[in-house]
Amino acid sequence: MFLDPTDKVERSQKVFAPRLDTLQGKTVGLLDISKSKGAFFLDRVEEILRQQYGVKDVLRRMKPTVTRPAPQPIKNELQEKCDAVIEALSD
Amino acid sequence: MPETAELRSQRTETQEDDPIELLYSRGLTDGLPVVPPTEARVKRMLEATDRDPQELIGTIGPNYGRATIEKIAINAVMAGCHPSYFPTVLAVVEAACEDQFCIHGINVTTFSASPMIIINGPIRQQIGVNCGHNAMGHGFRANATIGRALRLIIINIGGAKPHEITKATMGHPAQYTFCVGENEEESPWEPLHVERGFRADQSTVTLFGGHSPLQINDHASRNAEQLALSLGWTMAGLWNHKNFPLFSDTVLVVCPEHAKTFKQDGWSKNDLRQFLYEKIRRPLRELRPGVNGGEGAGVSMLRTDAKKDREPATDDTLFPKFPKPENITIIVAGGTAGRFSAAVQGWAGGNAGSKITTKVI
Repeated sequence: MFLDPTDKVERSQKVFAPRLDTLQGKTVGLLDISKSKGAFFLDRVEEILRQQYGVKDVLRRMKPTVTRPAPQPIKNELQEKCDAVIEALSD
Repeated sequence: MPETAELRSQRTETQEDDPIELLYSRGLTDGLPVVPPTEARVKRMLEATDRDPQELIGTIGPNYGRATIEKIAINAVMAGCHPSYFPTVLAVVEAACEDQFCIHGINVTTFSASPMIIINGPIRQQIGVNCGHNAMGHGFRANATIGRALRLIIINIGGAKPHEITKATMGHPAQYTFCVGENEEESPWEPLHVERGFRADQSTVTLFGGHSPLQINDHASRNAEQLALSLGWTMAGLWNHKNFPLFSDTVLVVCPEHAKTFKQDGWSKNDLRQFLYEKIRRPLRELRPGVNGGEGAGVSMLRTDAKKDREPATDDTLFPKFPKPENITIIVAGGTAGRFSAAVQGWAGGNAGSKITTKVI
């Protein structure tokens, strides 16, 4: 017999947001995690999203530091205003 | 633990299985065999404290699992800790859970960071922490298992498993365990915990988010300045030879023979730090991308360079390796023979990373 070394605290069930059929007319969030060249990468992603996928709006936000999770206000804003969010890992 | 306290962790029966293999199969190890955490062993561990097993020390990212006294004890058993180490392990976890230590980032960065534990004070002799020969190596239960307990807690409570949420590019062997005692008896300076505001008769753990140690040889220097230059120019390669300045802290582990040389010339720790800050500099022209390598100068330097309110750097501008003298933490450790010191490069430091953190045992 042994004791469980893991944390088995009940967690809220994570449910995926509904998948999007199209990006046309949608608002897409782009979260720069604050690594070098993130803006360079996301500029191109934004260009492609607007020109090739017809997104209505792009919301750009940046984490204050790469080392910590995004602050809750940023996460809340992205969740409220965006239909989809892309988080960039650059370097 | 209080006599009336009960353990709440789930029990798994193992009559028909080899418990060590069962723990492997459930992904509950660091890759090495662990001591099966039986109820009897966990209770013996908990007898080393009066605290309630359900007391929450903190949460460990990235999963933010709850590090209760009970869960810490179970993992300390698995790591092979003697119960007398348990108060030290609790202090280690307290330090790891401090927000400023940023254990979440340390556990998931591609940099391969890992907590380095430095033990100071009388506890070193009381529980047999090795501070002398092979100070950062194998052979001593306290060093091996206290460091390993934190690694297992990171895996089992924090959920930081390689190939899953942990994506360290390289990793390093010190991730299994990295626990060293300061050789206070061989140091000409005040020990780390006193420098950080604690009394000499207190025992502490200090955590540093870093990488593996780089050993630095200098058997020839017979004065402080020559020795400091050897140490400093070797440390100039940390992260990358062009990361001037670093955006992280560094722990310099000075061996006793090197410490004697600094003592002989009357150098304080601050003298050594200040010297390294002032002397280990290179001109911007050597730090440009594409000059002896593709990587350019440190990100923080380029950002500073870009600020309009500052004097723009020229090719002749000398940039320091260490952003400020206080970014170098100095301890003495190791055996009394051999002129080998070591440098431990830090992960991202300051408010944008991990700050060195000390807790009383």
